[in-house]
Amino acid sequence: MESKRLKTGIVGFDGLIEGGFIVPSMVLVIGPPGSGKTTFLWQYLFEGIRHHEKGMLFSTLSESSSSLIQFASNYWFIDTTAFGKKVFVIDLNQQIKKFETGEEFLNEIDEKIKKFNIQRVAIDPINLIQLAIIDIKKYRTFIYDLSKYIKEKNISAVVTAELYTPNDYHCHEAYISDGTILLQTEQKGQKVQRSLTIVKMRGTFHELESIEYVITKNGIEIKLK
Amino acid sequence: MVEILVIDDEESICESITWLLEKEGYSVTCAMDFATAVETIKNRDFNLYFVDLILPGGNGINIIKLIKDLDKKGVTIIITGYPNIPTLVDSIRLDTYDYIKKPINKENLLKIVNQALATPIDIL
Repeated sequence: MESKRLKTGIVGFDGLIEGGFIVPSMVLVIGPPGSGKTTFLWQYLFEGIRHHEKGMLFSTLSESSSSLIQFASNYWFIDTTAFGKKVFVIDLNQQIKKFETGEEFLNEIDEKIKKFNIQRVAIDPINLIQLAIIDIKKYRTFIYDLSKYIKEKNISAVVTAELYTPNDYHCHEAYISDGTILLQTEQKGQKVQRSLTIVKMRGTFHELESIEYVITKNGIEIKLK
Repeated sequence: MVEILVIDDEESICESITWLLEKEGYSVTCAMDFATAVETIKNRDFNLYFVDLILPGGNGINIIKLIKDLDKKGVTIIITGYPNIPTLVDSIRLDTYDYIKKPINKENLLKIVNQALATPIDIL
C-alpha cells in the first residue's frame, strides 16, 4: 500500500523525496546556526494550513514566542492572522528549567496536541532538552518515546538539532528519527553557499548528493539542476 | 560476559582500548585489518563493535554494512581521526550509535561504552 505523503512547503523539496514526508513520521533537521532550520519549520507548519492541518511549534530557545513570531513574519508565506488559530507557538524553555524526565515533556506535548487537535508538530531545537534530561540513556529513551507517540497519533513531526561541528554532534536524535536532513553553509568569498543533504529517509527513495538551496523571502528554495 | 570487538589497524589503539575495557570487566577482541575483521564478525557475535574507517585491505564503512547485513545485534561505534561531514553522514546512514575521535579520551570512551550497552536494543 502506498504511504500517505505530507507536503513540506519547501519549494522544490518534495520531488526529491517521492512527494513529501510519510505520515506518520518524525524527521530531524540538523545544521549550524543560520542554516535555516527554523525557517524549514515555519514552511512546514504554514504548508499545513493549505491542507487544513493545524501546526504547533514547541520552542526550547530562550527567545519569547512573540519575538519568534516577529522574526517569522518577515517571510512572505507567513500569514500572521493564523497564529493562535491554525499555527501555535509554545514556549518550552521554562519547562527545561523545571522538568527532569522525558515523561514530563511528553505529557506537556500531548496535552497541547490534544487541546488544539494538532497534525503537524515542530520542536526547535530538540537537543536543548538534554539540559533537562542529562542522562544520555534517558534522553534517547525520550526521543524514542516521542517518535512512538507521533506514530500512535498518526501525525508528523519535524524536529531540529544544532550542529556546530561534526566533532560535537552525536547521533542520538538521528538514530531514532525516520528521516534526517542536513543543512550546511559555506562561506565562499563574499557569498554564502548553502547545501542540503537528505541523509536518510526511511521508506523513501531519495537523492543522496548534496543539493544547493537559497533562503529568500519565500523561505528555503531548492535550486534544482 | 559482554564481548567487544575493536577493529583498528593501530596497535597502540587496540592495546589501550583492550587494557581499559578489560579492566572494566569486558572481554575484548582486536582485528587489525579488513580481512581479519570480516572473518571474526562472520564467526562470532559481539555486543559492541568499534570500527576504524580506514583499514588495511578495506573500508570500515563496508565492515559496518556487513554487520548490518548479517543482522548482528551489537552496537556499532565509529572510530575516526578525521570527524567531518561525510563521516557524520555515513554514521547516520548506517545507524551507528555514535562516533569517537582519535586521539581517544579514555573517560569519553568508557562513558560511550557504558551508555551504549545500557541502552535497550530497540532504542539503539
